[in-house]
Amino acid sequence: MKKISHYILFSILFSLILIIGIGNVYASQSRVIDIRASQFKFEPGRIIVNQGDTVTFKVKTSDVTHGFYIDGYNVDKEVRRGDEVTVTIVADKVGKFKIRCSITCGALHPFMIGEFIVEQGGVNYVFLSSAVGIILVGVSTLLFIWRRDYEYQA
Amino acid sequence: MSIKLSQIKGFLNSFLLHKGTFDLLQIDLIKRLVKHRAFQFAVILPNLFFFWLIILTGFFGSPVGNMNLSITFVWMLWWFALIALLVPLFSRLWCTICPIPSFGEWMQRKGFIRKKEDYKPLGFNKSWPVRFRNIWLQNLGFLILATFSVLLVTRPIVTGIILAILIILASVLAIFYAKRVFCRYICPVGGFLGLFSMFSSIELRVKKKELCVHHFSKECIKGCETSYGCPWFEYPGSMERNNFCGLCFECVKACPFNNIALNLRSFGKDILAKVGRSLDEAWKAFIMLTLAILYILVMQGPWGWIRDLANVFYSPSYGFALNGIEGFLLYAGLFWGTSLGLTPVTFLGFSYLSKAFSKASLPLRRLFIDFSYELIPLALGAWIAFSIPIIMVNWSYIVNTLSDPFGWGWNLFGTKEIPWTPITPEFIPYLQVLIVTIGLFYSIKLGFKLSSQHFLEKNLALRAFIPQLAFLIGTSILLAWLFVG
Repeated sequence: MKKISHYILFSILFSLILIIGIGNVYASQSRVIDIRASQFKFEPGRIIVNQGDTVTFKVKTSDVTHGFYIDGYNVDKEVRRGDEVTVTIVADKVGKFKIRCSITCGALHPFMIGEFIVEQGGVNYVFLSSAVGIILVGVSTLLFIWRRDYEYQA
Repeated sequence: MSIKLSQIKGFLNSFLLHKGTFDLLQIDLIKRLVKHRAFQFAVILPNLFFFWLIILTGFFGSPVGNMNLSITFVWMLWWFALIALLVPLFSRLWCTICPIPSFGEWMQRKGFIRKKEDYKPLGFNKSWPVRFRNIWLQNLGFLILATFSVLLVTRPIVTGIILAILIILASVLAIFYAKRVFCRYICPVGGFLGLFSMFSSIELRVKKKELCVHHFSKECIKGCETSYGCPWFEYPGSMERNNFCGLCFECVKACPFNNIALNLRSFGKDILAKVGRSLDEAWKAFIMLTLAILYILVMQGPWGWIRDLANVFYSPSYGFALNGIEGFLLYAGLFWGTSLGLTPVTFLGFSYLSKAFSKASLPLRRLFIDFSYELIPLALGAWIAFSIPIIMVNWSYIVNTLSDPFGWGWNLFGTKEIPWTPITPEFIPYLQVLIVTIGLFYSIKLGFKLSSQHFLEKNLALRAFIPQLAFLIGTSILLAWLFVG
């Protein structure tokens, strides 16, 4: 049991070092991103910025009226054909936020999705910590059950 | 009706702490309810009304999915309720209330509720061919539907047509074949309901098996004056898994000894049952895991070009125009190739490693099939995670269409104008990762016990399971990448 505790402790420490160690400090930037909305996609589909960046979205539609909504960032704009809608935000929250169409635009409207990913110093900590968490949960579950619940059932 | 303190304690112990089992039929109200002949008819009837409404709205309502009740009720509300609540908590309770086979069953029984004294089933009452007594046809049916799922879940008329076809098919099969052949061997939903119900926290089982062994009249199979007997071709006396129990409660009505229990139990118990493990079910597990990943990628991912491939009959005016058949074939090939080929072959590789690590003399096929059952909790977790944004983001479409089911501009209950307001959508990815991690936990817990069933020595079981652990963790990280990466 002692060995297992050491193993888990080592894994946690290693993960923490990994998470703390790989991040670099990036200076905030201003970014302008042109987005084209059409049935049923945003182009580009994945937008990756760093925390603290000031991001200006210039959104156009190439077919029907669409909505431009970003989860968690209180952005919800109507984009009509022929217009260009400009939205500026400060990317202060890290993580992955879906960009959605908020105005019914056709059959696949609920699936018209893009992604706005806010990293920290070029690293997606949310995914990294999720992956480390999954590994830790997996390994510790196995070791715990191996020790406690083993039954000879063969 | 009275509920004793000991019953509440037993219920809480079983439901919250997973200590032992608790027979829900101890609760007088539930027992009287399910023993009543009118029970199933009474729960199917309101559901049948919704089915008709769904078919009507599918055929005659707005072609825009989120403005039509057929889409919002089936692919948002029903789907979420089924996969996130009904299956994990109540096994195949959906089959209790499903109206699809009801016409055929009522026709066979020549009535709705009461069993006639001189009962003889109507129809040819044939036996289902032995070679098809598996879930391969269900796997095939599900994959076909899944291939066209982007059309199915966005085009009301496609949903209407499919539901109508399923009702007609179930009814026609009931004319030729005995009992619920459609539910057991054909229904494309039934295949994954059966597989995932193995994880459920509820089970219908006999209390004392020895009582059944020494009881020869077997009313639970053959029926009696108060029951038709099991329409699912199951014998409760030997049942160890939920897979093919449609919770119709005919056996509860039939058993002269009240020997049937509806137990609350711990999650995933059936996955450890050694009976019934087979290649068709293993493939079902691969299909379900793969399709969950593909659906997250296609329907919730940022890659619009994949949606374009899947959306074969796309035209901006919401109509149908054949568009990009080559692309669709590529998409279909991806669906079929990954779920029938890539995932099983990859898993076979990991099973081979399990065999090599443990130096087991067991056939690889045995390890491959048995370990495949460990995928059930993770696959179910992936499906729940996929379904969460459907309800949290799109709930307003459901209440909108409640007031305007056809999308004709009605406002029956004043909910038509409720604006689209996703519920805390920024937290959805975290919730999805959490659910997948819970699925992973159960997959590892049960997977290691599966390994223990084959290896007497403690360390061998662990060594055999290490490649499985790698597969499960790798798949979970892939899912996490789709959610937060």
